[in-house]
Amino acid sequence: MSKKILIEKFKSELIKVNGDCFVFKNLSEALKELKSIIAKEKIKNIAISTKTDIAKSIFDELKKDSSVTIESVEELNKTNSILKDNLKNIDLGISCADFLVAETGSVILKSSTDEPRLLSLLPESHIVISTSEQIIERLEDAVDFLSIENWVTVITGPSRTADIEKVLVTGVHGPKKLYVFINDIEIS
Amino acid sequence: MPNSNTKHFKALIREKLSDKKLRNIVKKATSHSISKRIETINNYIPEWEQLRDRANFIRSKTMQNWEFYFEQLLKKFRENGIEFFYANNSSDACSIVKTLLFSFGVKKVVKSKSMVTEEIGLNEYLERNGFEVTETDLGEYIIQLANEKPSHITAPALHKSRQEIGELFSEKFNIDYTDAPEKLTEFARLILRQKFLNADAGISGANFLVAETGTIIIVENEGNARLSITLPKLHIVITSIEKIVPTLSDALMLLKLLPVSSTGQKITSYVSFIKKPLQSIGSENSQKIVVIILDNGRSKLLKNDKSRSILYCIKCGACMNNCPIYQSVGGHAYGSVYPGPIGSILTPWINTLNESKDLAYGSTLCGACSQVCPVKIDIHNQLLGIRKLSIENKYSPLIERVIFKLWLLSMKNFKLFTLLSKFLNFLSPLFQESGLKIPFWSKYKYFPAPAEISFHSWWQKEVKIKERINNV
Repeated sequence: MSKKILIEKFKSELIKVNGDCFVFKNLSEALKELKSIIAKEKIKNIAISTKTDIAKSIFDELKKDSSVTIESVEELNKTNSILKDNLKNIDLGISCADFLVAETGSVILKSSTDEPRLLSLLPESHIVISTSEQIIERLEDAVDFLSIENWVTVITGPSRTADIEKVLVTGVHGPKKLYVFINDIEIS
Repeated sequence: MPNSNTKHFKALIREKLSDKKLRNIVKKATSHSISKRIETINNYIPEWEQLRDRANFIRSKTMQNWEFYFEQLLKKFRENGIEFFYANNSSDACSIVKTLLFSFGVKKVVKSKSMVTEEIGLNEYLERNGFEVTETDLGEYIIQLANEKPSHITAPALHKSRQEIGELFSEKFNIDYTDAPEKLTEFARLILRQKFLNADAGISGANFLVAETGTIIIVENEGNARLSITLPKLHIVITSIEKIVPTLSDALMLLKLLPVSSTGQKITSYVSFIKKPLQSIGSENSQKIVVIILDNGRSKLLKNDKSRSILYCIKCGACMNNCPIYQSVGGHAYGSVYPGPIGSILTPWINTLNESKDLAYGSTLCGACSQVCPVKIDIHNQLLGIRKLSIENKYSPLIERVIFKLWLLSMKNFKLFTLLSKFLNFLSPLFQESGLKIPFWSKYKYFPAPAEISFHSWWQKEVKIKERINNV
């Protein structure tokens, strides 16, 4: 399957499970969308993993924005403070994907000191930055990655429950919103 | 098994059958799960039956060669720095947990959903020993607040209406009454978030333990399992021996079946793959992971060719959703930790057969359970198997045994057979058309009236007439 079809499939699957997906060509497009989410969700505090270049650029650009405070996990690690205390009041966590799974609209994230599990867990909103090259068709295609890595989470949509009369409610313990940003490398 | 009370099954069935409100709630919830499951299979998974065959093969080869994969898993746990305990029974498992919590100076524990901890009665045990234990799965939290037991293995509060939950929250937390699921969920989120942040230990179950890599796989929707296994510095996994899967590919294959069978989701919101304790960041202590694997009678099944398939179960709950009995009485009627068809065949092995034999009779043997089972357990055959075992052990009522002894004798002896059937024919005028009500047998069933003339005598008469006609 071509990347284009896979991206479309990923997008439609993610929307079905109450997530959202945004495909961007360049940094300015990504920032524009990001800022509209920040305004819509009334986000004040952001933490970001700067594992990839695009995430680093987003970090640098958002630092110039006086309406939000943003910290990188890298900086937080240097302060020798307790991670959960740093992250418990964060409104938005931005992490970098390892893979995207088209069949189910899932994001595969490994946990590391640069990108701890809590970043995609404690904040009410979660944004994942990825590229079109990271997209795979099925979860099985990532089996080698899953067997090598020590801590991996497969995330499909926001946190959800149907424990009260089977009524679907999003955002129980994990993030209430999930956005996946895909940098379409072929177009850019 | 401390958490089981299956002796009163018959009485409980009667009680639950008369509870119309409960029947409506259970019926509505199970119908919802049934239609979601079918929708997903029809729309996305044309190869569903082939997947079931494959899953059955994986489960059967694993359980047949369990010791081999178990050794492999232990080796990987050692390599990955994960501590391990094998618990023979509930009290062993509980005391291992207690010792661990004491040695880590734990006071507050958060728990994510685990049926095995229900099986061993862990919450009550830990609370008796002075620990604060908080269930964090929304359904489990509701059940804990109401001081009840789960009535379903994947949807523990299935039997409760939103009004009941609203009243419970307003009473326990002194808040204004609301029965809006969104508001109740948000309220629980805020309370439980503080519990997570202050917990000293997290206890979770596991869906799969991968022998090849030592990976612990946890499947969930809410994020409470991820928080429980990430925030506290001690993570205890409590699970049972049948969760072992040979390879990661096998686990991914089973993962294609589990959420679909359970809720109709292609995959749950979160699937965690854990191989090692988390690294420490900054000044924090590093994490410790301890896995406790519970036997509790299951290893008897490993050696039993006829009943081993009971251990194939991946705890999806589809059999109970689709069971006409479960739909009518709900999970609490069974009195067992695991309700529904799978509970009726597993409980006699982890509890005593004598106490839980009645469960296997709470079935129409329609086979709906076997048809939906993602790993193709022959549940209805196993139900018959439990009935057979209980008869072999002479657990059936004396009168029943006497009647069947007589029946067997008469089937083997023609003279006795003729005599008994003549006797019944003779009694025939006593019966009404609808049959005879026999005291102590059944309130609802009638013993059918025997024919006035037996088939044998009718045949002889007919044949004789024909012979006479032919001879003319």
